[in-house]
Amino acid sequence: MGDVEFFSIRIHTGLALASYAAFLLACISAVAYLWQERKLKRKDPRLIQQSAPSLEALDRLNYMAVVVGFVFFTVGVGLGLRLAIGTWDRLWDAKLLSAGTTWVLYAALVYVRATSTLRGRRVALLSVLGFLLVVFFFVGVTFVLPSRHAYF
Amino acid sequence: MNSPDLVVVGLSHKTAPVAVRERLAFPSERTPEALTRLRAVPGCMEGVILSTCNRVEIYVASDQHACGDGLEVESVKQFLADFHDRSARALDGICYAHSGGDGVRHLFGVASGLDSMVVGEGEVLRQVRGAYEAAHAAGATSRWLNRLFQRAAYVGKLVRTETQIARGAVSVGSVGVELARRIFKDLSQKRVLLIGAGELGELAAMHLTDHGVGRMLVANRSWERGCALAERFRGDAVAFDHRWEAMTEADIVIASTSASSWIVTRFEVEALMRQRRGRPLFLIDLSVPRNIEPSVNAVENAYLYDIDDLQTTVEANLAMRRSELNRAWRLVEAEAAAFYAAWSMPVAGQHGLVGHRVDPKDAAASGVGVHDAGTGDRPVSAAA
Repeated sequence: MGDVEFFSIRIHTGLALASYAAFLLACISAVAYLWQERKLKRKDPRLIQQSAPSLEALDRLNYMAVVVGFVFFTVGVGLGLRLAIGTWDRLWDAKLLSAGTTWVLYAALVYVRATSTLRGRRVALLSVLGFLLVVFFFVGVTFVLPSRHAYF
Repeated sequence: MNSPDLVVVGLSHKTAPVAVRERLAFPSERTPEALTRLRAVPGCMEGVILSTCNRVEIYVASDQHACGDGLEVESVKQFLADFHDRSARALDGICYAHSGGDGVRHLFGVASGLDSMVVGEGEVLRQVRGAYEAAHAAGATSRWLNRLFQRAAYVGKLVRTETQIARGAVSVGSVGVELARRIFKDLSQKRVLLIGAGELGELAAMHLTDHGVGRMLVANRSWERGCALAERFRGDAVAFDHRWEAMTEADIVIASTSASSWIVTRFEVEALMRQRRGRPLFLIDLSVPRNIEPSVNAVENAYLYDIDDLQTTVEANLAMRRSELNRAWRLVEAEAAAFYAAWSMPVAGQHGLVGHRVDPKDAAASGVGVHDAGTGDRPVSAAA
């Protein structure tokens, strides 16, 4: 393994982890959004007794985290794909499949957000779903399904 | 020299109806005159008169040597009666009197809003400060009441920050603002549409304007009235028939008309939300009978609150404040006890006095705790 490759793997891993962190942040803000939205709809009188960020603020944080995470993920996976093309004999791999699915889901999420096709509760739900998928793939591919992906 | 005694005589919303309170109130322009006359009462060294819509109270630092026990209360009552051309007996049953440590406790409680009609309200602290400043300016206070009232201002702030007594909105208008803040990040970027010219709607709009809402639009059936309202809020009037376009633009809609049927239906709001591309909409219906179909709340990204919903929140907040009363009183009692212990200790000379003075601002800024601040006074007087 050459220096360039080794360096690429480090960046690939770093970006993947950074994107997971961003997706986690998006998920947390989405959960907070859903929780507060529910209280607003149900007219919970205790809602305004606690201080909490507004729905709009949570929504923006979620959007930002999704976009940042998506960019990291795209570059990270792109780098990984390049490496795989050079080293693996076939690309039909569980890790690649799961990465592809995650990418499509977050791409769709960025798209509906950018075009305001969906708003509020629904995009929050999508972003929670996206993160659940990330966790599922992470655990599944690392510990259950066979993959040539070395570490995780 | 012995410390003077503190005497408090007064009446409040708890002891006297407004018809009595207004007759015994001291208008601010007559306060200097009243203070002069109060200080002419035998034994009265210093005096402060607190007169608000909800209470009339006279605080006196009295020279114990000049007056026997209990006499001072009667003479202060007599002064209150004389000043308003009433007999002292008319005050029986509506007046309360406190002296010594109880008087300190009472003032600290009043300043903290614990004795207020709306528990924890902040106006009374400003009024206590104002009463003290007026008396100070009239030369009616000196070392004793200066210390007392400066401490009261500090305790009033302390209780409000250390307990939940002043938390939560307690009026329909302010609940509306708080809810809007839970939906929108920055109210100054938001537009409000006021439909109708009902009193409550106007009040809610006023609250939103006070909290720096971006732009105000008014749609009223009567164009003139709508224009007049819009002018008051520095907003723009919209023709009642064009309220639909205004609703597409608005973020907050307040309905307060005398219409007897829905002027906003669920069907309309669903269409509206498509036009708005799901931008959140906060609707406040302050009309009775209601003007916005209740099921609008089920439309995605639309939040509808009617007058009862807001009132429920007000009640919940008031209940929360009341549940904090005991804790707040304990804090006040600790503060009052510490303060009075330092006050009633014999003072030899000026040294002790200088040490006694705790500037509430300094105490608050340095984060001095309840008991620290109280006992901080003691070593000085003990040394003196």
